[in-house]
Amino acid sequence: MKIIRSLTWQNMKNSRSRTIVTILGIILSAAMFTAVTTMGVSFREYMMESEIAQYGDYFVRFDYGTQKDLQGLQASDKITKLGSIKTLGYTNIRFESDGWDVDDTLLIGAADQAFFEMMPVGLEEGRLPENGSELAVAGEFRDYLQAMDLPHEIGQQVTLSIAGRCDTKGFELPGSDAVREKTYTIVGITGYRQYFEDGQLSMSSLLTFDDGSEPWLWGRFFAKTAPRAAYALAEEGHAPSCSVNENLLEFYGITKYTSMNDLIVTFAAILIGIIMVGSVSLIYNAFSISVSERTKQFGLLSSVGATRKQIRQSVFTEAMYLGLVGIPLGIFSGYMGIAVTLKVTHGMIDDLLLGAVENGLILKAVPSIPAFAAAGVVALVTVLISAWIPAYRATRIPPISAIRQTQEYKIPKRGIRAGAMVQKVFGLPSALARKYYTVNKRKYRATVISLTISMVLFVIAGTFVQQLTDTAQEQSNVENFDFRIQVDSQEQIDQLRSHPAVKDSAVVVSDWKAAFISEADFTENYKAAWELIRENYNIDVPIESKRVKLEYLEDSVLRSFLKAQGLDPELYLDADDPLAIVPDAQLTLYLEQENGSTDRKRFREQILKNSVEELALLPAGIPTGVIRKLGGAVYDRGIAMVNGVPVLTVMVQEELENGDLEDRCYDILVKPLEDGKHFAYYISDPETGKVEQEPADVVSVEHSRVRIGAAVQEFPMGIAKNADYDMITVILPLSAAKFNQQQPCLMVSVTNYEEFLAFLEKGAFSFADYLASQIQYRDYITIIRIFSYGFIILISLICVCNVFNTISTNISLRRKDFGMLRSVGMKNGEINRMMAFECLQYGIKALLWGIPLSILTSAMLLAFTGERMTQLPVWSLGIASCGIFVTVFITMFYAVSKIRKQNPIEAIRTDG
Amino acid sequence: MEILKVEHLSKIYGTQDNQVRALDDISFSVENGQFVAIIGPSGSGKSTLLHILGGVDRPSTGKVYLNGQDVFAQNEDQLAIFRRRQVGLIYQFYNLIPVLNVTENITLPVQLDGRTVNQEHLGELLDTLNLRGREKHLPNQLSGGQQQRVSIGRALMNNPAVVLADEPTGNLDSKNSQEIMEMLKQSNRRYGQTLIVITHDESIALQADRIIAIEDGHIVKDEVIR
Repeated sequence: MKIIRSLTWQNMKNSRSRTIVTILGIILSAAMFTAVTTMGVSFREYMMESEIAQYGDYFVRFDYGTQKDLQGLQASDKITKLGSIKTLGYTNIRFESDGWDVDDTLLIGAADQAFFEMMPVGLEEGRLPENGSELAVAGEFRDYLQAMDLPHEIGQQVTLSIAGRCDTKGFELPGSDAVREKTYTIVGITGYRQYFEDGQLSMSSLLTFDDGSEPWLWGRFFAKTAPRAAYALAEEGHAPSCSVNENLLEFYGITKYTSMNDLIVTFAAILIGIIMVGSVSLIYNAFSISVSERTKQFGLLSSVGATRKQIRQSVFTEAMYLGLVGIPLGIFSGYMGIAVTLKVTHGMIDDLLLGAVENGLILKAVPSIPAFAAAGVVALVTVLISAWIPAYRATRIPPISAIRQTQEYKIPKRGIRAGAMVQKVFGLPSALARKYYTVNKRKYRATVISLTISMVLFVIAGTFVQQLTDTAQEQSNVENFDFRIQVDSQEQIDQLRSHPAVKDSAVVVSDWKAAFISEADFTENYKAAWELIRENYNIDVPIESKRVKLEYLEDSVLRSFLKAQGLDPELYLDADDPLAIVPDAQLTLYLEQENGSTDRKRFREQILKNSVEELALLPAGIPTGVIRKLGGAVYDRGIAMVNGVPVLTVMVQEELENGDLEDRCYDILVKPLEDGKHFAYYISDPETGKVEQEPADVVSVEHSRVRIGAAVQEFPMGIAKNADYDMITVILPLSAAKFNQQQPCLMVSVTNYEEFLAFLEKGAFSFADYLASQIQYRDYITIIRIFSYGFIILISLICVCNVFNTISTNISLRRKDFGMLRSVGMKNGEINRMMAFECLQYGIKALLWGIPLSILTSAMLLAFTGERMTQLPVWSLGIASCGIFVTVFITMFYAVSKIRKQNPIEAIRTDG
Repeated sequence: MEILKVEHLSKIYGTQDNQVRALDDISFSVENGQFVAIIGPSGSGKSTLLHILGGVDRPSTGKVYLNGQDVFAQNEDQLAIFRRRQVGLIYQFYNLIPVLNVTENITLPVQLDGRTVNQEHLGELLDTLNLRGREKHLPNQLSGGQQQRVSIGRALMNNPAVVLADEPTGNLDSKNSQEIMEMLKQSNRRYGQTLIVITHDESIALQADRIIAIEDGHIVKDEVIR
């Protein structure tokens, strides 16, 4: 009806801010629906493209098919595309290289055009063959051809002997024994080699074009059908062997098992469900408010003869107007939002997705009409559901009540609490706020629910992201340096240090020793940690047996560190008799619980008691007695702990009778003597493992002791924190590394990772990149953060719109009350105080629900992932709580400020 | 003694072609303790005048002096205190605070002032207004007449200099109307409060000491009856 539409339009114009906020809410909802559906479609497309790029675009594969099978397939009406590769025969590859033999059989396949289009042949150079005399060779087999002194470059001709049956692996296949020769021109090099279940025979090692000129033994046929027809086609028995490409079919929803498609759809449905809850709440509220504001109008319409249907029509008309504006805008902004987000993050996402790395695919937003339509329909349904109940309620108001427009305060049966205590403590405005809160509680229920939902979602997202960050942090670099670079000279050190991206650096030389430390010298906490390690990891090594990593740190860096720790550098930096510092052990243990979950426990414990002044170490190098006994050139291959016993491994280069040199490894067991000052070296036979009775040498410890100055809790720059559980790090000045044969390293932290990495790679430095995994995890966390917080922010915006609508309209409906209060002399400041107190009550109510729900749902989320909540998500709770109060306060004061601008009488004359 | 003085008061709504002059250059004064009835047809501007006198609306031009003080020279907070202490406004539709009971509604101006309620004065008002036994009732538990009596109580609680009543009986039956007017007149006589009543009821107007007739925003008649 025109008049209904006109009235609706007028009402929307008059309540501009509420109309705009509601449209905004619809836009947000539609945008989020679209984002979810688009993301689902885009991800599915990406996964499909990855699958096709790796394994080909087909649904059913037929193996060992004959001409008759092929004809049968060609005649099938189920097939939309058919590619084939026919086995022309096999060629032997046999050669010796660098003392090892290669004996392989390669299949020569003739593929048709459809096959080249459907399958990932992986052309790297040149082009694909276009006739039966051209050949594309898989890259690694080009090397074989070269090893066999056969032509192997593009443009060259190679003659191959082609046999009808594989003759090297004992693999029987149909075909003749005839051998023929064929000369091919190499036109392309392929990089991809795909194996099937019959293993040894590669598919595309040598590819020619099927021009029908050559006899063939058997073929593989790749069929594309309508997705639903795939299984039916497979059952038709067109070849001795066939298989269905389930990995690809599942993206079309056709699979016998739970598929990626199902997972994507399920996840999307859950997200859409959550969004709908928030959206329905907002939009329902908006229409509910509209109905409240138009109560008198509906009463008048009813009194002049409008039917209930016509009055309902009015509400639905408003819903349609708002939907028509909001939904298309929402779909557009949702798609653009995802497109921009993926464009910004694809660099990070692609590194994490295998398909991208291997096939150059990128995850991009795919516009999909069905996705847009689905989002639009869901949004429309949301709007209509939200409007239905208010529309129904609008028809239930008796006309005369509507016209009189008595304020609908629902007075509780027990009355309104006097609030005497509140008034005594906080004053009259606060008491009034308490009374209004009591009668308005129901109206603000939607507000409290919205605020609570926002808080819970925010805290869940924060917990989720924090957990990922913690996990990533532990698995990534925790060191205080980014690169470890082997250096040969001071010039190299200077060159590296002078790079502008270098923030900090230190020269370090590392050396390994072993030590036996009395149990009494360990701290109690460390001993307790050790017991846990032993139990959980079934370690049979006694606590006394430790590997010692001597870290000789650049003197200037160590000096600064000592000063910062409050230690006197002069005591520690004596090159002839240095004092060592021992940092605390920092360990993360993954302890399996009885219920199967894993408990992550972090230890940070001082290892040795403060009373320990000296560590006795195994001496460096190979004792002369051992060298003399073994004879030949002896090389130190390092010390290892084997079942708690230090074992020195040496390599002896022995000259054989024929003049050849042979390397033999010997294990030398090192055992302390009872006097505690000497170590005996026992050689074990490399063949039998039998240990000699008499020691090859006995060495005193006087030259292999280190004085311990202090235990420290932190690690200086350049010293690695990551340690094994049986290790102690001992830090000494570099100037004390007099006899150390190890190569020094420059430990560097940088300001620009990519730039420095490129510099190192260009300069052919030998280095370890400690930041790479951190970068990857950082990207991973960033992506999760973007999507999680993006989602939460949008949901929160919906909730904020909801709060704004509810509060501002409820205040607007109370403007008469405000007018009355001002007319009897209530100051603006007192009204502000009254509203502030009301805000406080709603905010507190939201917190009373939100905080426990947030903690509970976060704990459930963690439990679901096998973790325990070890600390409350304080930050998230704090931010969410502030957000609640800020939202409520700002909304209320905005709404009140508009009323305050009026004269009191204008507010009182509400039915004017 | 002059308690109220109005000088060249005008109230204009709208702009340019849509301008409506609700009041057009009105000037008059009222003596202390006088009972003035303002009459006039609908839309004449009488309610607008009353609301301006009560400080709940602002004039476009002109001045209002109460006890020699320029009412609209005050800031918002001072105006609020003025409304609290100097005037008592009674509306046709009561305009009680729905969440406050009878006692709380009546004592609201005192409580806003942060002062202790004079229980004796309150009791007297309750008796005079025949509200004993309904102290704890909320407005929605009272009849129209009872609600109007509560609004009178609220207007009188702080012993204002001027009581302004806008069609106080407009929404009541004749019996209640009579009672209300008696209470107002009693207050006028007993407490010496200046009483200005807007009415279209001639019988009420004739009870006043002075009748001011307003038409189209102008004073067309100003007659002292007694």
